[in-house]
Amino acid sequence: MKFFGSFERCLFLTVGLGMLLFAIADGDVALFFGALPVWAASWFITQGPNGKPLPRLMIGALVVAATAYTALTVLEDLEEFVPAVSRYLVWLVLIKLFDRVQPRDQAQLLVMSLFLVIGACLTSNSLGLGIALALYLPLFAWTAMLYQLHAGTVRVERSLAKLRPADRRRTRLSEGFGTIVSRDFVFTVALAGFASLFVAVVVFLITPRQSLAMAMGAWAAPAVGSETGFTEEVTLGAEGLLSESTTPVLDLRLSDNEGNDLGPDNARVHLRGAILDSYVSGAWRRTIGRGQNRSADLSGFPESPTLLAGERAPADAVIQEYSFRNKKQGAILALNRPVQISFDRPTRFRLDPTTRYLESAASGRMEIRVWSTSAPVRSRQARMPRLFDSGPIYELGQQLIADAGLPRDASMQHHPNDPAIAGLFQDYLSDSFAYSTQMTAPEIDEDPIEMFLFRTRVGHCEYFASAMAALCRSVGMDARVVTGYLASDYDEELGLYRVRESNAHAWTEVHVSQGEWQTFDPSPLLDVSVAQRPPGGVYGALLLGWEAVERLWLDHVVSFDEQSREAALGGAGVKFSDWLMGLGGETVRASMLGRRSRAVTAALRGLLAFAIALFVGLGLAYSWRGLARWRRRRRSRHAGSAAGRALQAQFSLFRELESRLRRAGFERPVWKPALEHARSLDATDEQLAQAASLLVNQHYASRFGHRAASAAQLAEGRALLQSIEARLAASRRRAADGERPPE
Amino acid sequence: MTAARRQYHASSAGLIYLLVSVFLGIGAVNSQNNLLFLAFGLALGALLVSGLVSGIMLLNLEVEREAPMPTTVGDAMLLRYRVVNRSRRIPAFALRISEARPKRGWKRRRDADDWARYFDAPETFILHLGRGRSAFVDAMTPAMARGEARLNQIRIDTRFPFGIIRKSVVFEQAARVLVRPEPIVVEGMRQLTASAFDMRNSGERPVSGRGLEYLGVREYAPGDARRMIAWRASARRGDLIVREHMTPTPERTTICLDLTQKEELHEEASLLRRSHNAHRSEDAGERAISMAAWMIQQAVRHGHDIAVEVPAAEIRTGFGTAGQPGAPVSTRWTGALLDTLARIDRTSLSGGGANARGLQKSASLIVIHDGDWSASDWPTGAIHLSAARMDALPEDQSVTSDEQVAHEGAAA
Repeated sequence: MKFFGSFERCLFLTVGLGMLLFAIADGDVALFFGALPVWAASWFITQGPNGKPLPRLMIGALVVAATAYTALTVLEDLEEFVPAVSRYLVWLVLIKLFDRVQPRDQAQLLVMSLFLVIGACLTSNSLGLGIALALYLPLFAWTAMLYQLHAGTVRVERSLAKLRPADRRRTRLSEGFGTIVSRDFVFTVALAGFASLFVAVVVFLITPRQSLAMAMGAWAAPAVGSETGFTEEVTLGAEGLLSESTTPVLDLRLSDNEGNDLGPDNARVHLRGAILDSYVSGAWRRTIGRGQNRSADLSGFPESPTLLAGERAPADAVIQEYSFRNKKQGAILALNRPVQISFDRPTRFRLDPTTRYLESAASGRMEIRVWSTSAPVRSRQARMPRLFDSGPIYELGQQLIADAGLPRDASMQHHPNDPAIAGLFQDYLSDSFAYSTQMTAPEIDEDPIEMFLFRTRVGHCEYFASAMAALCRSVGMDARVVTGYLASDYDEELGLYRVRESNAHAWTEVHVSQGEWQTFDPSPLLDVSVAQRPPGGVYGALLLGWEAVERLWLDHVVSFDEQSREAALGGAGVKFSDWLMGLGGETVRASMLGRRSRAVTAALRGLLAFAIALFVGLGLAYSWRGLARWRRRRRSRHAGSAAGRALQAQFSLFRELESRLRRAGFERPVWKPALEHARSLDATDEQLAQAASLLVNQHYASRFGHRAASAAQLAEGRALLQSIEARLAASRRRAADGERPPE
Repeated sequence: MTAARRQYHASSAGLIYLLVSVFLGIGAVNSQNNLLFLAFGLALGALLVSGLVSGIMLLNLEVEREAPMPTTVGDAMLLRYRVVNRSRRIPAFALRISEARPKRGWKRRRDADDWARYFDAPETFILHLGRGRSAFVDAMTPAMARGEARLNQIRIDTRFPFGIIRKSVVFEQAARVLVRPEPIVVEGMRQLTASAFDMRNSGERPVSGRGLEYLGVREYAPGDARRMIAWRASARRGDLIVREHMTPTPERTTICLDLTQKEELHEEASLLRRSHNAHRSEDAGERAISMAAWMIQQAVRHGHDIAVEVPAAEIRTGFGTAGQPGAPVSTRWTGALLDTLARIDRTSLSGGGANARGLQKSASLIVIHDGDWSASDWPTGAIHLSAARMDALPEDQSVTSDEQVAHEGAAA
């Protein structure tokens, strides 16, 4: 406990923990490991046995450099404003650690570390951040309270320094700072801390969610972990889809219309992300839904699902509840075929009616509910262009269907053998090829699919899916590559699938009959399961434990929404919430349709007016105080007779002398007469003492003798002052060079 | 003593804190970031707790100031406080105790006896005061000016726990404290006063004491010193007899302060006065009073009985041994004389030399002027000193011309 009795140590720890918090939130390991040594070095440089701060000029130069760099960064990319400002704060904190240590500077350090933490909260919601916050906040409260004691002690010590040594010894103060960390202090810190936490929890619970959300623009909800999403292009042989990371990206709950959990019945679930139908130069791209067949723009709301293509979900629909940690802009995951969708907040999205591909610009933490059915789409669809209608892939396809006795005319869009042919290709690939997550790049002018089928015969899911789609397209069947997630890790206790980054997968959809697209996964399932299986052993157990705690954190803190609030508060909360939601929901709905509600406009204007009034009021108050001070000084300068003004001018010279002596380290003790002090300077510099004595005598003659100083005397006094300044500068130079003062 | 009022004080730190809290609230509502909701709640909670804790802490405090002792210009003014925490549950931390001044209207006007004219704001600090405990703490501040200062109120304030809000409580407790003039010696005064405070006794009184003159004999009483026994007389009588001697009579000296220059009680003067940290005798009148203070100390040191007269202020103290002729001068009398000097109000002087002829009779008369004077206004034989002209010699003095040359050389 003695360790925490030192304010300097607590401040040092608080600042370091603040930087750690931000590094965790920003995921910037380099920042942390770069800042940590500097932070540690600052203690030894400034607080060590010979510690002293860096020169002010150097401090100023570093601040200017940091400011310029941050300004350039922000100007280049405005979306990086919050992270850039937070990093700027980190640099300022590090620079400040090497600056002089006065109570005011220490308070500034404390406040800057708090701003860093606020920046961290704006950047991330991870469990690691939550744990770091749980450590930081008590330490900050402790340090802030210690600061009040420290600042008061320093203030009293400064006032005592003005006294004579004998008088200082006579003074009785209260107990020393070293004994302050007592039971009483711990009790008070705990009381203040818990009281503040109680109020925080109350505010957290009673504040309605979703009212006036995004009313001031899209402040994106901070994310947890890396972004989850799929691009509309996959290049074979290049890094992209695959990941071995076990970081959870989303949780999925499957149920039917009656609320029964469908998880145990489904070992693996293919969650569609991007649907890629065009293959050019080793890359799959999405073309469906563009050009003439454009996607439809729709809106989704929390309280009512949006029907896709005008049809309600059938009774046998599978309901998927997705809980994204950090959804990227783009594809919305769903089982084939989605018919209904709802979001946790008002969201715009696009639907391709042909493929039922869903995409949205919304990102961050999201809860999406999708209803899907396996019934086919009863509509005509344009045929896809043939791929590989000649060459080795075509020949392989023909060979396989011939060997299986499943002939097919390539000119036909559909053939009764199509499902069997697709199954044939799937089995061929899964049985005859090896699965590996190792990346292999094709040679120049070598097609990646041909490389996989005829040379390496080993690859990952993208190759397997691409090869199957290529074989199908070569025999005239419509096929496309789908990227998404393969959910296989089912948690029976929680009743949901835990989908991780390593569950990213690719498979094939084949148009087996009019309007019916079937899912085929040619990748060897056993090998895929091994590759995607979460780690075991102690590490696996720790990982599961961490994920369980993180789940609680996300559910009860990060994802605390209106429903959670109503469950926590009961009827009273529901009524209050309904009233505000009625106001907020209507307002947001109006803004979704492009019209800003009068209520929102009025609220924003009122808020702006309040802010302006507050700013102007504060400015006026401080200006008035400054003006009053200036008038008092001016009155004291110009009041009185001409003799009084001359006296004041002479007195200004004397004050200037005292000021310069003080700056040079020759401050006159309060109990020592000025003339005596001036004469005592001859131990340092005889000429300095003479000049100072002359100036003091001039001052005495003017004030005590009531003889007004003439202009010539004032000029002489100013000349004396200049010579004194020159002697003081020479003395400083000699001291810097280690020379002895002149005899 | 009653608590006058409790106050909350706004500060720039508190305003900034408020603005940041508002920003957090707006950000939380707009972004629906639950961590920001928590942060906003914590900010509100800290604000509430800051006001509540400081208020509860001050609610149970009492403070009492001990009667301040007189001090001297240039010395430290010591104010001792006793602070009691009557709460059984809440300890007190970071208490700042200081002297408060009553506000009059929207503008603070300084009265003549406002303590701010005499010393800087005294303040002290209590780190920790436990439940049901009391503590004595001292506040020291250099005394800057002579006079009688009035202390009005004691303020206890604190920013604990988070420094967001400063709360204070003011207790009414009036007191007066004297700041005596600082004894100063001008070059040449020592020589001049040596002749006035001659060590030779000028007389003795017929009271048994330690003088040289024979008083008589008496019977021996238990406790008498053996050396006082007159052995031959005792042998003749057959009983023990002791000898008695007379008590020396202290020389009487009158110190007269010829103050003719009124003090201007406006802001410029006080500004000039307060800016000179050491000696507060920044004008001739104050220097004259300071010189008189030194004189008094020297006189008592030499066993003289002193009386002080200030004709312009109608002050006449009389001698310390008045009513007790031949009694020794006590140190309490020195203090009383210095207190008299401290109480001289130079803002209401009525004129000087006109009353000079009514001075008390004494062996020596030392007149200290704050400006020029006319010899005809003063009794002959008086020693004159001028506080206005440091390099000028008094007109009527016994210093020889050689001593005068030496004095001029020392002054240069």
